Amino acid sequence: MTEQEFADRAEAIKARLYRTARLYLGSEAHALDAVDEAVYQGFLHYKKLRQPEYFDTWLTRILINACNAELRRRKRELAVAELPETAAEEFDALPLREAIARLPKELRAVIVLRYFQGLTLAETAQALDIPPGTVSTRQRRALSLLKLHLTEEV
Amino acid sequence: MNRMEEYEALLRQPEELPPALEDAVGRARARARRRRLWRRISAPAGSVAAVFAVFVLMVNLWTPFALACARVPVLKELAAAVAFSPSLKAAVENDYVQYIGQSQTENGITVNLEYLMADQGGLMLFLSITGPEGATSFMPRVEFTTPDGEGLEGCSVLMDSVAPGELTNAVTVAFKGEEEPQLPEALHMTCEVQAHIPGVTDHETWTADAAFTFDFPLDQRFRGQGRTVEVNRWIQLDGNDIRIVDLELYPTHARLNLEQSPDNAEELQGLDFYLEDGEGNRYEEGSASGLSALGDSYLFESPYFSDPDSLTLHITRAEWLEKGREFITVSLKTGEALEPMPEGMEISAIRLDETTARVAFLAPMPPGSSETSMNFYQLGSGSYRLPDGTEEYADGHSTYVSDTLWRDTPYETPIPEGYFVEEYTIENYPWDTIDMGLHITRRTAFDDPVTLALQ
Repeated sequence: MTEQEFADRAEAIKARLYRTARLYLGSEAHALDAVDEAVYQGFLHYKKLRQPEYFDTWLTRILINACNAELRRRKRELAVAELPETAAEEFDALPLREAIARLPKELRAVIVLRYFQGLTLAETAQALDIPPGTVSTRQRRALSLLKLHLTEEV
Repeated sequence: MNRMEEYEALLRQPEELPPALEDAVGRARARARRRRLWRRISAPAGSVAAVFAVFVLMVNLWTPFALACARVPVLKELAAAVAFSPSLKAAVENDYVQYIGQSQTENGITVNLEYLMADQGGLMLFLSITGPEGATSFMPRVEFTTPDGEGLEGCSVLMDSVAPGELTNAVTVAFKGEEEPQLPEALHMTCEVQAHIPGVTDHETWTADAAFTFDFPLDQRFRGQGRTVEVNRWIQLDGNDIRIVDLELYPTHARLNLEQSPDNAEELQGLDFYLEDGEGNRYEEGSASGLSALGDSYLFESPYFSDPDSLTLHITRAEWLEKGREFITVSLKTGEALEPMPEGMEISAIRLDETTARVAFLAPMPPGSSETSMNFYQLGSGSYRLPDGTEEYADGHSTYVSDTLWRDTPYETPIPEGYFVEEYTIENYPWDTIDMGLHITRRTAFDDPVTLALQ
């Protein structure tokens, strides 16, 4: 991949990256920072991308890492294990966008990529560097919390 | 609206994209360019040679070319351009400046070559550049020859970017001081300019948006300027013997020349100092060109025009590298040093993959540092040794303050409060241990400066 090819492909998906980060982080400014960081990191490492056909998921993965770094800075994340017993009821009461923003980051990443970016289960697994089975488990848990009845297949 | 309807609505909802998203790729390019520039500057030991390696264009011979020269009253604009440098400010106030006043336009870019100053230490050109709307800066790339086509010798050319329309010392020729340079009577300069337009300019590739040639004379006043104050005194500094050889005072800068005793246990790697005259005026280390040292020759702001009766040297800090400890062996399996680290310094290493490693030096920030004023100092030399003893330079380098080392890896480690990190990336290194180069093993701040009357 040449630098120009990287620039063209990053340009082509930057709006999608922004929407993902916006939903994941819940803030326009932080989303913009995360996209900037992801494109920058991508720029530094695109020569190491051996399979250009996975460019989109590769850059999405970098974006999710950038978002997580951003979250760490904000220190508002809630680990899955720390979810309170009443969480489901609380999520039920929130508007969907806010409920998604309140999900633990592991679940939120799956929901955003699967149901808002339109990635397949396999692509989501690749983007998050986790086994497909874990994606499946997390999306089931997240859909249940959000009271969303969406397909869990593909 | 039930949850599914809410989802459908959210999915269809058009999201306004912030205008700043437009140039995300351009910003990444610019940031990567800055990073690379910093890597090039800092990786090879932060030495003067390294600074040269970045900006420097080596040029060859020069011979005289006679042209008349003209002097023109100094403008406020020039005074502003040299305000940051006491040496240059004094030079301008003493009319030690030559007006050139040449202007050329090509391809929508105009270069105004306005002034120059020169002495035995170097030559500084002041110019301004204007160009297309949207250009946020211009980068010149110059070469000097005589009209006969012969180049300059024994010097390096440093270039700096220029903000649109702003008179800038964009080109400096630094003489290395090994031989007495002979200023020619005139110069022929070829000057290419690249306009930086965010989102348009490709920083990776040098493309000249315009090319110019200028011919200008050099004022004969600039020849043979400067004087030397002989000192020739040995002092013991922090346990090592140092000879203060002399001071070279030029109109645009000054040099403190030292010699180290070969019997010293440590090599002097850096010196913080200032000179003070009888009236309490201070002449700080450094120079307008950005160079601070040439080997054991340390640059400082020049008292040439004030010509004080007395000068006293005050040394406030010294950095040392113990002889025989130029490298430290680190295990890439355990991440730990296999021999004692210099006092106050820590090291950590990880392997990213089979051939890529990262090594981080950690050290406390000096007193007085804050979030807005980071007083980093150099810890590693930027080089490492292969098992066969070959010395190589690290592939990447960064210096930062953080609370976590090796973030986003399984090796995340807290960084002690008040420490900074100097991190190196080494590629194509499959071995289990690595010898990392040290820049210093000791750094001493003198609560009471070491003082010495030199004149």
